[in-house]
Amino acid sequence: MTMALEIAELSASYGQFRALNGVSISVSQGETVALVGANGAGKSTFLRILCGLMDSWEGQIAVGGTQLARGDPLKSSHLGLALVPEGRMLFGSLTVRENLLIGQTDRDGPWDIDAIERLFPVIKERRNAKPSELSGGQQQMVAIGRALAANPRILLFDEISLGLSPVVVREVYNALSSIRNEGVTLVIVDQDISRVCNVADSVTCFFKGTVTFHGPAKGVTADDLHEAYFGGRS
Amino acid sequence: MIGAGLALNYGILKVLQLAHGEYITYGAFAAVGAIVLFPDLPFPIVLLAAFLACALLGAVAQWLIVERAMSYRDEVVAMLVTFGMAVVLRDSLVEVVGADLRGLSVGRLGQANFTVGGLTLGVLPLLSLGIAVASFGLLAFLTFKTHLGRQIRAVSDLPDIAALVGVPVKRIHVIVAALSAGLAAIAGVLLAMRASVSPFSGLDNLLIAFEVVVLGGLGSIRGVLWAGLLLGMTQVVSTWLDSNAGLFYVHLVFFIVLVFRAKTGRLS
Ligand SMILES: Nc1ncnc2c1ncn2[C@@H]1O[C@H](COP(=O)(O)OP(=O)(O)OP(=O)(O)O)[C@@H](O)[C@H]1O
Ligand SMILES: [Mg+2]
Repeated sequence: MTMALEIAELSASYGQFRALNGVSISVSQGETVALVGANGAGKSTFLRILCGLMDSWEGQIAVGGTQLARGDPLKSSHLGLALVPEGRMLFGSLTVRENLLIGQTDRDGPWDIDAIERLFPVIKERRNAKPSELSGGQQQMVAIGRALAANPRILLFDEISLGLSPVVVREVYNALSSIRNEGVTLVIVDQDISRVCNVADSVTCFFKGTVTFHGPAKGVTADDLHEAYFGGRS
Repeated sequence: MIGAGLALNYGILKVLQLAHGEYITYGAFAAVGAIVLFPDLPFPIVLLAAFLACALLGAVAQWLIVERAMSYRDEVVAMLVTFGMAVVLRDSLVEVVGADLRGLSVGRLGQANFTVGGLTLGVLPLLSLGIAVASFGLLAFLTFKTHLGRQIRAVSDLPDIAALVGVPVKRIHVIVAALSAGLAAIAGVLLAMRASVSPFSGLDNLLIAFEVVVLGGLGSIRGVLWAGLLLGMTQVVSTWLDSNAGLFYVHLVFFIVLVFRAKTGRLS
């Protein structure tokens, strides 16, 4: 079976600064991966590379068996990747509904506008609002809806719960289980390790651009990851 | 009208298209050329032909030249390239048609007028205004009501994220450049109907286009539509009142609005 993601010896840099150093990860289709690590560990950089938003990297990346193009977000989208970016990044001059419509692709899948509106009813209620008129939580739901509208094969979340109230975080995580059930591969970055490990199949920890832990997520606690997270050696 | 295309181009592509004035000139000369070759061509066809010719020119220039210059991080590169394009376009035109002034003969239309309630209105300025308003209307419809317009706005907001959700950003750039050059062509035809144009008019027109864009707020399509309408009306009204005024009142209105904005602290 071809893997959803097959990454070997991935290194990336911003000028002189190495943000990723020899990262190798495999993710199977339908798997949910929790990606954790301290500030500056390289999580966002990793997601940006997959999305074609960064071109200064070396190594091998195969998405569903196809080599990923360097710095070409349109090609990443064609490979079935979608991103729920940190800070939502909604299109400010489009309405909520238009933000969903523009996410649509010709890939078949369960996520038509109706299904997305059932997942997040608030999207239907505020369909003609502009993103700036929404609360942070509502914006995050629209961002997830926009990504789902593409019927992605691999859905990436950066800082999924950053700045959201506990109620909204619970709603977003509830939605994650419906999304998982449809067989999409998820990679989720969240600061709250135990919460994200609860929904994940496996967990990967980055420290200063390298993978310091990779294993099943079941039962993993923040304590277990302490060394990997802070770079301690045993 | 003159500024709409420039604003569209800047708002979406974030490139100041310095060849815009030349597109206006080319539009005018395309119309003159069409009429010289086919004297019986109806006016709407002439307008359409000028639009299409410049749209094609704008698309090819974007596709082959500007798009590449845009891949440099420094915006100045793209601007310099469009400056080069402007010079090449102008000099090629001089080479082909010479440096003479040309005008579009509008026959009796130029003098035609009618009177409402004591005011005598020229048909020609009204026709220009009508065409400008119709073009703006079409542009607004395209931008705010169609799928293409949605893609255009998304590219204007966040180009990278737009590409990531599947918007073919480069194709959108080419389409926008074509639309922008086509709008310039229409502006050029309208200018040629009222006054003569020379291959050297490009710079003057670029200046007015700048005013419209600055008035409207850089890159805001809605704002530019209003600014274009304001300056266009000013020109129509001022040529009624004083047929020798030329563009003086247009520049004056621009100046007044700027001073007013500077006072209220909102420069854009
Ligand atoms: N545009 C940039 N230019 C230079 N350095 C950058 C840039 N973006 C990120 N970095 C650096 O690269 C490293 C990895 O950053 P990245 O954003 O991938 O980390 P992260 O794991 O997502 O952290 P966070 O939890 O803060 O989001 C950091 O040290 C950061 O300072
Ligand atoms: Mg980050």
